[in-house]
Amino acid sequence: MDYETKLVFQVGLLLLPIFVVALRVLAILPSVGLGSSNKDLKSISDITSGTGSSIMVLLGSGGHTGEMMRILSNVDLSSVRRTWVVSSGDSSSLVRAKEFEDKYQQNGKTCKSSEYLTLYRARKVGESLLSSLNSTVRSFVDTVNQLRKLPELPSVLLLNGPGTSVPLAYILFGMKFFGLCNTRIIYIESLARVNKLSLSGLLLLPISDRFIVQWEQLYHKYKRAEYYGILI
Amino acid sequence: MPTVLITTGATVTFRSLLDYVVSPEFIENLSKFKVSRLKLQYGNEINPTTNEHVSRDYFERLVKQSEIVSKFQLDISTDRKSDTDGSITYSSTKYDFVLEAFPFSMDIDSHIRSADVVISHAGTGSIIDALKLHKKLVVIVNDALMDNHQAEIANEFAKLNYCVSHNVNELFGTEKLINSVRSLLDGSIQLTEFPANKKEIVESIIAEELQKAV
Repeated sequence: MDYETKLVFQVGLLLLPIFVVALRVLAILPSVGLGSSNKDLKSISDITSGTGSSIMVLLGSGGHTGEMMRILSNVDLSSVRRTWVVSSGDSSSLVRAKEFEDKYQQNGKTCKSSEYLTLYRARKVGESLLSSLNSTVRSFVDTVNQLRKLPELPSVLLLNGPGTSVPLAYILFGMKFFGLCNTRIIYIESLARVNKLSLSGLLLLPISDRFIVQWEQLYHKYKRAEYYGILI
Repeated sequence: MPTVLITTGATVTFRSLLDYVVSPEFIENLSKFKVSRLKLQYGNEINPTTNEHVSRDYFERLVKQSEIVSKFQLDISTDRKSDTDGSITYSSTKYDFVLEAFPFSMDIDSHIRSADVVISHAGTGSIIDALKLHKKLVVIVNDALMDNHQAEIANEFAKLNYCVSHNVNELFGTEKLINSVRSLLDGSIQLTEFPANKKEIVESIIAEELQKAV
């Protein structure tokens, strides 16, 4: 082999993994997929045979939890398995989730099981940079460990913008990259965001399969955003 | 006899709003406009290390400092069913006025239903709860909060004429709040009806994504 052929092979070998990774990312990246054009309203209980069967809902804290529970108050989740994710120390979100579950139990209908996941909080208010870096790493490792303990990874991840959304969504996106799950990410931006997305929203825009905003201004500003009015 | 409900949020004590409303002047103005019942949700902030109820301590201190109990000859009855929903009632037969104060409620909707005017902090949930029940609403923005998206949403809703909005700092020394309450009560301010939202859409989106997640 002459020098040039060798070089071509070496460069080729070097570029191959990058090419494969890029292809895989393109395959799972929602922004390059085709948008759904279905206009009929569907109900969850009608479609669950032979499809994804579990949902993970993140309850951030105070206002985020309040919006999420209001969004879900008209959604019937009884036919899918539910995992509620709360941050450590956030007992009021846990209470809200249990209240929601109690209503299903009281209805006496047949109902899929549910569980609770408590994640180590990524960053506390007023923390120094170094210790916040430390706790971010800890929260990342903790999240991966907790997810591995679940009997199955969620089919749908529902988020509405607290800081903890970002590591959770990217970890599941990473797992999707390696073919470990096929979690669809639905992000609903907080009603408090009128003209500008939150940092979580900006970071999650590229990897969310559905990205929903609650103000028309945001819908016009971001190409992939969907808008259906106020949802809470 | 109209009822006014004030909600201040659950997580952080809205001190400046409490300062303004737990005062002889505000209560006197209310009773001037024949408001006979003031319901006050004063907050549920609990210090995680000492376990002290920050909001309740602050509220009770204000009651003492403002001397409203002696000024309005209020009788106090406490109903602390549990730590989260214990309410205190201050009632005065002489002035035909009742102040009902509670830290927070799991059933805030029933309090909203009983009110003629709601004065709410600018949290999205709280605003929406009042608008959905088609209540006359005054939103008070807390300027002390770090991220002021609350101002954004309050202004936006005020622009759409769903509510009246004030910054808490512009209340002191003025009668802006009481004037808004009065104008809403006597109908000189007419608000636009809040449209019902399409909640089924969220269930439909979840259903579509479940189908794709095979």
